[in-house]
Amino acid sequence: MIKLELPISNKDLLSLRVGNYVEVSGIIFTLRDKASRWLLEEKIPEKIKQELKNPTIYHCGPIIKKTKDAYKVISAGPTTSERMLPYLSGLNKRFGISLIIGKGGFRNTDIFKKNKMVYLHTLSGCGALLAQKIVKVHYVFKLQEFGMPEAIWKIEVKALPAIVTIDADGNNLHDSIYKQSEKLLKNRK
Amino acid sequence: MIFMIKNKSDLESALVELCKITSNTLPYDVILALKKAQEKEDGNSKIFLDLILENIKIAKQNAIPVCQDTGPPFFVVYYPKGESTNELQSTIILATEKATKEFLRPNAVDPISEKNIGNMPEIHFQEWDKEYFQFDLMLKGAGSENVSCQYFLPDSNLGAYGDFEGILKCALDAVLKAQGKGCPPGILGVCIGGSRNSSMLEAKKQLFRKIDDINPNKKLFSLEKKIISEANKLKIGTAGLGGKFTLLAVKASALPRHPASYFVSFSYSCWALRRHSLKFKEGVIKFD
Repeated sequence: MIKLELPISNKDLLSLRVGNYVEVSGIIFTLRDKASRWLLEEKIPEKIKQELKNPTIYHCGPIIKKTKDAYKVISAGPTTSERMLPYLSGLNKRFGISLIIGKGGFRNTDIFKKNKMVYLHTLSGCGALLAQKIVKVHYVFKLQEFGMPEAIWKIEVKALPAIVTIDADGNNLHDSIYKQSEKLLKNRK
Repeated sequence: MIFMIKNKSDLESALVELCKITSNTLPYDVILALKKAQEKEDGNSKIFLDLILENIKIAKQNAIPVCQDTGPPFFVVYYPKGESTNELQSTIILATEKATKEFLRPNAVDPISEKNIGNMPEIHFQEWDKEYFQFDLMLKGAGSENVSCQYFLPDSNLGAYGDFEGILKCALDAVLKAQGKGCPPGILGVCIGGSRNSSMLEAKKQLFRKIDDINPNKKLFSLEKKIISEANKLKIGTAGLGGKFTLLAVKASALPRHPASYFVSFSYSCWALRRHSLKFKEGVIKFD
């Protein structure tokens, strides 16, 4: 098991290999459908530009409650990453996003290899367990406009469990499982 | 759990409670199936199933949603003769609004304004001969809804004709394409025949059946078994990371079809199949 402290150095990022178990600690940003597109198409407020410098992204639409003086994360598992495929390259170029946490991964290995990006798969459907790993909500962007699941939440995680499923060398567990299952289906008697 | 209620306004509170039970706990038969899979699994899949079972425990203990995607509430309501479905609908909508304020994730986006407007339940009413009401609720996330699909037979790409072997080919193609996106090990609802819409709806309703129930139709029963065993040979596994269990159960049904139409529909549920029901009769409410 590898302890990943964010922000991660480029050297550490490149040393991650498919199959490594990791525990992520530090600041991450939730980002999904609407916000991904918005970051690429719109003129971005300066505050967001300052915040999103080589950030680690979590494909997640959490349930978060506002208590008297803070936000409290109730349930926050990963969402299916594949929907965010059209924005991957652009977000890497514009904000230097190179570490992504989500579920289901991508079959497009080339984007990860070319841009030296890494993908971490975390526990699908385990919103209750993963919420316990979020120790603080720092800030939220675009809550009113995008709504709770699609806002950009700046959160702090401690020992969030995940497994490396796409590495910067072009190894891709999602693609190999797909190809294996496709082959097994083809050879079905 | 049994509650006494005085009038129908209490029904609203009971429906909020139904939403809470459904988002925070899995039915016993689903937990049992996950435990059985965990015992037989190894490698990454075993570790993931361990964590899934722990997640279920945490959600129940802390009374929080098992998964953050609490779906659009999907209700099937059975009601006795002479009752107003308009009234029932208003009560369900009010209960859903309350549940959304308290604990459900707002999961309804108006495609015109693109604003998130909270939650809009999908409700299907069915009159029956019994003297009580039954509200079946399913909270199904988008990951599994997005990989649910419909085929039209014959399908020349799959080499599938309008017969049970053709249906099996479609089922395996659906599971292959779903990979880890629908959060396996999944439960597959199947409907053979019907129209475009009745077929899809019936496939989803099949997910209300208990995992261990036995299909009274022998042909459908053996089709269910065949789909499970063949799908599990694809080794997609828990979360799509490889393993023995890709499907936990298959539940199939059939509807009459037009001679020129042969639809087969698949409603894929993630492992977190959240469904519970509420029975309501003469001031007594019972959750299941």
